[in-house]
Amino acid sequence: MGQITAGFILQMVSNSLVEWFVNTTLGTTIVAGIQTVAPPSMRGIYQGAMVIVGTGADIEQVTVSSVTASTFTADFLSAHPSTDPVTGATFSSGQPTTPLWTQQEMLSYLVDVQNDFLSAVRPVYKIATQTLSVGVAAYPNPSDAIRVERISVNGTELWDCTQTDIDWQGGYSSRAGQGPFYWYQDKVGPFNFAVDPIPQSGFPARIFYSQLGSTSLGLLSTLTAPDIFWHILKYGVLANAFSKDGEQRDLMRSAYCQQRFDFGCLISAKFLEGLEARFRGPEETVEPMLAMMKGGR
Amino acid sequence: MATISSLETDVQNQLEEIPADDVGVFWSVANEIRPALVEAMNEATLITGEPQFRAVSAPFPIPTGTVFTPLALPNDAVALLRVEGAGSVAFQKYSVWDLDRHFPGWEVATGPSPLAWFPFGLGQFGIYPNLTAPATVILSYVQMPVTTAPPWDGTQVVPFQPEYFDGFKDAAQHYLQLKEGDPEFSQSFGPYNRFLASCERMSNFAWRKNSLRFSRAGGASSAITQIRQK
Repeated sequence: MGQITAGFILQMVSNSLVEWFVNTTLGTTIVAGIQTVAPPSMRGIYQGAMVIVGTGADIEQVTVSSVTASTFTADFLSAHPSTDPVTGATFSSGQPTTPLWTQQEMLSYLVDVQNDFLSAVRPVYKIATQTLSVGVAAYPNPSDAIRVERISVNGTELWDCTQTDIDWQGGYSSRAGQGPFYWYQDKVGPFNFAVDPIPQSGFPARIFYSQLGSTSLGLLSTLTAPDIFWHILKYGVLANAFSKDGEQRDLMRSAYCQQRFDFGCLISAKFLEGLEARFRGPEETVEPMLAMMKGGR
Repeated sequence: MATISSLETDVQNQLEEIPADDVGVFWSVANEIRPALVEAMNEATLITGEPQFRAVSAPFPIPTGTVFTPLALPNDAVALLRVEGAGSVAFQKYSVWDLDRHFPGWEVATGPSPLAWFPFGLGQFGIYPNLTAPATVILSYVQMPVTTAPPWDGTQVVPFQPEYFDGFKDAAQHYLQLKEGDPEFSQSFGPYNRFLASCERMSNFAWRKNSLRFSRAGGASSAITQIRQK
């Protein structure tokens, strides 16, 4: 896990788009700072391009600040020998004036696609803590939550239900001073949850939630989605790239890539369900009304 | 055991590339053909649930604790299948939903040794109860087909039965021909369908060994499986 980077996905995308993949060396030994290097090949390197330099602990992403026919200049964080690799899917076609695609555009597609995938499959979970305060029913979801899956107080699950269910039971007032016993997400605004009865003293709650990916990726960023799914994300990005207006638009291949992405989400969800690795869906976790009518706990 | 390199030449042949040219002409061996073979293996893993690995040589340490904290699976693991303690005795598998019903308060329960385990998404799991003394367990899991980070030099072992190999080459050919566009790409659906058919056959075989995880139609029932029963 955590071995696949956004840069690798973009490399795979650029292959399918017949874009040049920068794969050269620095050609010049450098110390940290703003340096000019002369790589054996300048193909695919342009002003503004982001490339990956180095290996191991010294690997870094740099942005090319200027180029000549045989050199480029960038601000390096680390020293590098002349043999260190320079790689990257730079999407150089049409640069600098009329690019077909840009790196930032592709990273933006990847952010969206990863979050689409994580929302559809929900393979990654996290726990946050939230203090339930006196007299406060509603609280914001964790900022990186797709959705809250479970809430517990003192190690015991609160029942996942709806405010409508609670209303049918006579409302929280009938249980004032107790609990909380329940949590719900309806009618409390987007990205919020609430507990019932309203706490009459402070409670430390633990929020189990399915995790969203980062909203910003660089070439060296690892992904929130587990590595086994990298090819599915590639097809999602390609579906966007092929559907973009312009001379490279290819709706047939875009539709194909979208279908591969959707199929990937389907088999991934089935994979998690088959292994019972996922929290159950709402249709399975919302307690039956009958149980609610029995008076809670 | 076969390696990625041993499949490369056949893929090049299918693409009418120069065979055994380890650079490649229209398709780079290092940057395209090998990743396509890895992609085929990843897809087969998601469809069939193979390869499965028992990490007997790497006992997994379970720390002590008083409140449930998820444990990260080893880097090469995709999904946990089985956890066993001393004498190869397997612990019961639960889900979080099951624990809430069978053991209310399980998050803060403590005990001297593990009684059960449960998945926490794909990359994490938990042990019930929280341990008062450290322990080690043996994990069995669906393993990443290729456990090293890219770029792949071709020496990576293909951890599947040989019956899969034709399918991997077919799938790689199809993935790579996306780059060509029509009509070559459309014509490559034939090889991809052969790959899916081979995954379907392997799923049936996996079912004979344990439970069917997936079929070509998108998957087996998510009702109680033999994995859960175990």
